[in-house]
Amino acid sequence: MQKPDGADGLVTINPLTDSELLASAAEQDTLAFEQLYARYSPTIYSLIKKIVSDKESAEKILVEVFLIFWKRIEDFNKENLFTGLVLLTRNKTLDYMKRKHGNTILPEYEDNYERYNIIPNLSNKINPLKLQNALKIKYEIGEMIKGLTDAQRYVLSLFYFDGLDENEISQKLKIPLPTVRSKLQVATDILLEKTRTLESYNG
Amino acid sequence: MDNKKKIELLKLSAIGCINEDDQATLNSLMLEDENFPWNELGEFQNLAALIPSSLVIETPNWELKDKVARKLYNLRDEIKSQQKQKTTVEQPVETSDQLINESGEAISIEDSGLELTSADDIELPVEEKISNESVVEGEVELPQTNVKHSVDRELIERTTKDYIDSHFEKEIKSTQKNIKKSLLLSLILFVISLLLIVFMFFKFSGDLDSKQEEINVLKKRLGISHLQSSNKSINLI
Repeated sequence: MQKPDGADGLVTINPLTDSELLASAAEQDTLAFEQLYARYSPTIYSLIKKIVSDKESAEKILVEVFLIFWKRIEDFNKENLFTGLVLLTRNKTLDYMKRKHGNTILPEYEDNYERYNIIPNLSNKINPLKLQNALKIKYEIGEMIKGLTDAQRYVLSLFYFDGLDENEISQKLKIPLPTVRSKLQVATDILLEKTRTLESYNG
Repeated sequence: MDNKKKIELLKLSAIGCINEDDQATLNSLMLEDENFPWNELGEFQNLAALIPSSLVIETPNWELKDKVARKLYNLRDEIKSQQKQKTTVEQPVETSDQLINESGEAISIEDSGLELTSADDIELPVEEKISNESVVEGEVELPQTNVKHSVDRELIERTTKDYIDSHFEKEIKSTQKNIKKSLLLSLILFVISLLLIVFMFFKFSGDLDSKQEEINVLKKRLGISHLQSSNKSINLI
């Protein structure tokens, strides 16, 4: 069988932009949607795998993420599909994990819950960010995260990949709540400052 | 609320780990605050999306694409059928209290002389009564179930057809292309080998002729020397 676009983890050059594909997919064009799948599935799958570890759940979530995307395609920002999809994936994966473990009481998963808690509510003044550019600065982002202190990195990871909130982290690490908050604030400030200096990030 | 506090909440929201109370505060700020820092929110959201880009990229199983495609077709058909149902419900149903008489003229029910009775009041022949009772008492396959099955089957058939059309058509086209290519290639190879055979034939036949000539020359020489030696032996005798 033919190898899919982007199957090697990199974005294969496709003449159509995300917004063009998104517009066609919104018109029920399944081939355009397939192109978007080929483009984004490696990035999305890697994030899911980082959160859930087991392959079976990761595959199940990947399918669900793309179905939500398809179902609510008109809710996505055409100029910044990358951020929309990554944040959707993260929300969906953490929700799946919380429901699976049953430690947290969550509302019933229904249409409105999905709309307000799983679909990211992107700022109306967000800058465009393309997948190609994000992959170009992959190494730099990795180095920036490595540059954080161990504590900052750990807190960030607990927030981002484990989905814990401030109180949960405070209890887990046995440190005061303001300390948790300040670690996250400093870490995000450092990352944002450094990201602003990257050429590809600025388009 | 001061700007610093707002930004703190933004970060938590963008990273996705804000507690319910803070999220509610932030939501009301988004709606009411004219000076809400939308630009900052956008920046933090982009940053949050960039964090996983440092991960090692893993490719999902290739078969998953087909699974997504199949589910997607099902979903699309579901949406389409829902839309159809909606439009059917929205269309006004034309009702009429009129009947058509034998000559084709419309007459009202009152004029027709018919009395409207409920279904229970209608007297049925004995056979029909029995058959109706047995239907009620026995295990009945509800007509709704049949409809659902047939709709499901139709849906599956359509889905499969769509799937085949879009996926296998591509493969068929590429296979046909490959066949054409290989046919062309084999034709070229055939012509080249034919030319080679012709070339070899002429080359070897030319070589053969020249060898034959050489043999003839040698034979002639041999004949002469043989004659000379026999002459010598005769002279000796």
